[in-house]
Amino acid sequence: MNVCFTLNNAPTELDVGPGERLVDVLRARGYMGTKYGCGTGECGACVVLLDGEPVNSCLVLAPRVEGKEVITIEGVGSPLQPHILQEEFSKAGAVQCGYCTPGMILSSLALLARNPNPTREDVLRALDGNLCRCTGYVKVVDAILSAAARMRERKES
Amino acid sequence: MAKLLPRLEYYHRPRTIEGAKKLLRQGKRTTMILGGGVSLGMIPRKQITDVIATEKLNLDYFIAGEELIQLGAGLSLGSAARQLEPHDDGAARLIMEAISRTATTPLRNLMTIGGVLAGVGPWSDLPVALLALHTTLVIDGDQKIELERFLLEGPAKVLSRSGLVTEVQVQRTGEISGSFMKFGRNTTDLAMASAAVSRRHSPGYDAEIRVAVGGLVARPKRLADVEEFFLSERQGEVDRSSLLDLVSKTVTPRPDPRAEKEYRLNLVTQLIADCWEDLLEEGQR
Repeated sequence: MNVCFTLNNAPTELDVGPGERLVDVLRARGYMGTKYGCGTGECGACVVLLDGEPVNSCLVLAPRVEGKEVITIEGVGSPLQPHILQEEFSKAGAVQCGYCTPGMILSSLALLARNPNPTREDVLRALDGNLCRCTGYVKVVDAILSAAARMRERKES
Repeated sequence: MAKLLPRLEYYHRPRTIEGAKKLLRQGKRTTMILGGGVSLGMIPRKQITDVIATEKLNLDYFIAGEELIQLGAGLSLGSAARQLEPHDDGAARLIMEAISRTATTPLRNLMTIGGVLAGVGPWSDLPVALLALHTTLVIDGDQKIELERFLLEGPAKVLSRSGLVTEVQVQRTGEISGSFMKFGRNTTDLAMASAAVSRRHSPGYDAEIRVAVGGLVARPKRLADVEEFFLSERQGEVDRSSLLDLVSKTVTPRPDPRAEKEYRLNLVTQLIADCWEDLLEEGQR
């Protein structure tokens, strides 16, 4: 069946099977930043933004995105033009194997869009669906708070 | 990678409730209604051939009137919490508290109000809070059923003779205060035990107390005896030992590999008492 939606700000039309998952559809079309982890909505490696909110794409049947807006990590920044969040993750050493990082960044992006000045507690709550098994969370939270501060400064200036 | 629904042939997107009901009537045993789809991750339905998706039914609305909060069944828990946030009344706060303790942020953005109720289980959080409030469900857009009756009869029975949950209505008249507490192994665990207590003052009426618990039996349960107990002892500190006796007589917990029945009975008793003391403190403030 045909599904029309916006993928990383570009109108997109895809032919998908009724039982295909969004994570599989994205990865099959080259959006490999969306990671496949547990497949049961536990780990958050496959998080994408659906109409601006983080969701586990392993639990979204592809036809469900009809008419909606999907943002993957490829739509956030690139190696040449990284997003402030990506820069701060790198600076803080908040990345080790990197498997959870796209999901972490997308969850953070949704948080900062709604709350530009989050507390440490707000960040931890926003990341409650993103598991990391390498670095732990201290540097991740530090990176998000630094990015939030830089984004506020940029907006003010 | 295993497919969630390996035999799925049709993804229906009806635009009206009547259309969804028609598809349901025509459907076989291998047809299911799809709310947020979160339960698919836990229980892959290998035999499902047709899903009836609810996203085009325009049920993702939120209305906060003077007397009622109306939550469309297609509203995600995340969206419901965001829209409830500015409403500073006891009913809204109690619902928000239960939502904030449910699963994780990305899952709450998928889980729908209707899906949570149609798929209610022992560990469901939101239905516990709704049961401690005056909550009515609208089925198929035009039939109403009290949440308590829905839970007593069971969603499978109620929905088999009709169709789908389309709206949740929560009364917010009077002065309501409420508290919800949950215990699990970590912040996102399924409830080993949960409790919600609400108290409502309406001018000219005695205070009304409602107590509901989750995590122990097949579906969240209202504890009328405990409500009576609080009505008789409402000003003082809770006698937790008497409360435990009462709860033990009323509830027979189902097995849970995480903890013994006695432990969970004790746990839920402490949660009920803590909720009650929360309300008393709020009243004093």
